Amino acid sequence: MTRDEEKNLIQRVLAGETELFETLVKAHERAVYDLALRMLGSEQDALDAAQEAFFRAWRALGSFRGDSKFSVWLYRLTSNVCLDMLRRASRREESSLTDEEGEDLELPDRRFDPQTELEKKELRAAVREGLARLEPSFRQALILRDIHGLTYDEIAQATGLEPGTVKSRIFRARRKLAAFLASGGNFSASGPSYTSEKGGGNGGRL
Amino acid sequence: MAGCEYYEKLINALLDEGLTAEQEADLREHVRGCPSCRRLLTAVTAATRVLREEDLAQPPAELAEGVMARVAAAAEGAGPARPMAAPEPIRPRHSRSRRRSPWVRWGAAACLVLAAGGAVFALRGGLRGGAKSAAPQMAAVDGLANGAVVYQAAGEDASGAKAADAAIPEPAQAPENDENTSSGMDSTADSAMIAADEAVPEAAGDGGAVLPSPSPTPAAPVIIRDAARAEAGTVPTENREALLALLEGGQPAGGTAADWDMLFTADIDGLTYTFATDENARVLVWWDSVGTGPIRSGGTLDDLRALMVFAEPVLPE
Repeated sequence: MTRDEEKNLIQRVLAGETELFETLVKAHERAVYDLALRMLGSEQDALDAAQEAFFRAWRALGSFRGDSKFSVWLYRLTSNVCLDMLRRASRREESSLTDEEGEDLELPDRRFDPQTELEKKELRAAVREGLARLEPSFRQALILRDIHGLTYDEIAQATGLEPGTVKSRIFRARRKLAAFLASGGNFSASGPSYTSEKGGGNGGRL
Repeated sequence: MAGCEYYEKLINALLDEGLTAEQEADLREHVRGCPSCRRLLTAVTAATRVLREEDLAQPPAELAEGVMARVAAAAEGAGPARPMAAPEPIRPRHSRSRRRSPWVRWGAAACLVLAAGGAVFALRGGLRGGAKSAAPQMAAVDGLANGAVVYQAAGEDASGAKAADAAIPEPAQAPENDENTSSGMDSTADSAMIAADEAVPEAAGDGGAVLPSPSPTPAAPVIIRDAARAEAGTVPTENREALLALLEGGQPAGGTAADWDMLFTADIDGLTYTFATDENARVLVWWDSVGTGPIRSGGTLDDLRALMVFAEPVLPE
């Protein structure tokens, strides 16, 4: 769907062809759901969050002026829903990478140069685990940048942050992730993260 | 020769916009002699490569179905859909005392006690848990600065109970139609308390598949405490979604919180939203710590006021 087609579709939905909203949902549900899933770590929560984000999008459709891409606007709504949910849960459970910044990377370089399929699989698992343990705002930035491929400007639009802040946040998120990988994925001092039930603890043993 | 901090930035740039040939040679030269930067380079490069190879998750079919069911229910005028999930217990207000200082500075103290999904939260001394099923019960809310008006709304009396009692289903319009409530600006206390019962049967039926365990307790309307202008009022329950849409749907705005005139705050689902307005009467909203969270502009002051109905303040004992 081109941007013009999308604009046209939005106009028709606003004009009363409500059922056409489903086309917009279908076009973006994968991105929205994936972001929610990686932010929240649970399929049920991700489904709830994605539906809430789309519903809010429908509610606010009239205020979408096309200054940003529709997808970026949806990313913003989705991020807000997810961060709200995480914030509500955060009193119960702490994520673990908060204080690990600057941890020295002590392990041999070859850990990050997997040779076999098994090693690649383990590296992938470790990266996912580390991502899941990043604090939400850092996780959000990395997901949008490296998995969803947004530009810094788009991430700024999706988060309401200044581009410079986005840049430093991504930089710090990468450092934390790298430190997590180097540590062997065993940041257990502050307890399990809210995603630990699905991640397993074998992240860094490569 | 530049320090490691500079090379860390180069490593990051390498992953995004790329490096010039000179920068790349410089970086390569540095990491040869710097184990710390070399490890960082290998680790972040590997992690980033893995992330960029990740596939997006496949959403279940019920995602779109559920959205369209909610949309259809809302579009038919069956009233706004419920909040997606029962609210979690809300963090007590005092744990976020950092927010107070700007209020003191501006002297425009205003508080808003918000009821959502059947729970009523207190700004101070809030319910610590199990708020979902609690009867409306609001702690006394004190003004924050400059002799701000102090309001009280206890569940047994005053606006909390009134609002609950007066919860009248109002099925007609989708809440984003501002005309729906714009006349409420001059309402008396009684009309201000007219609020839709969120548990509209038709909506609940349609939405049942997608909305987990609907609470039998009707949501109370949003209750506003605006000390600066000595007005108290509500955002009726049927406008709750529209209010959220206004808050969440806006465009990002630059600047900091100190640049604008404060209006009031609202606790919604555990987040404190702060409202302000700029010289063009755009409403600016942010949450998180004052001035550091994302700042968005969402509609105009009139849009916002159209969602609210104002009443006389309930004076303290």
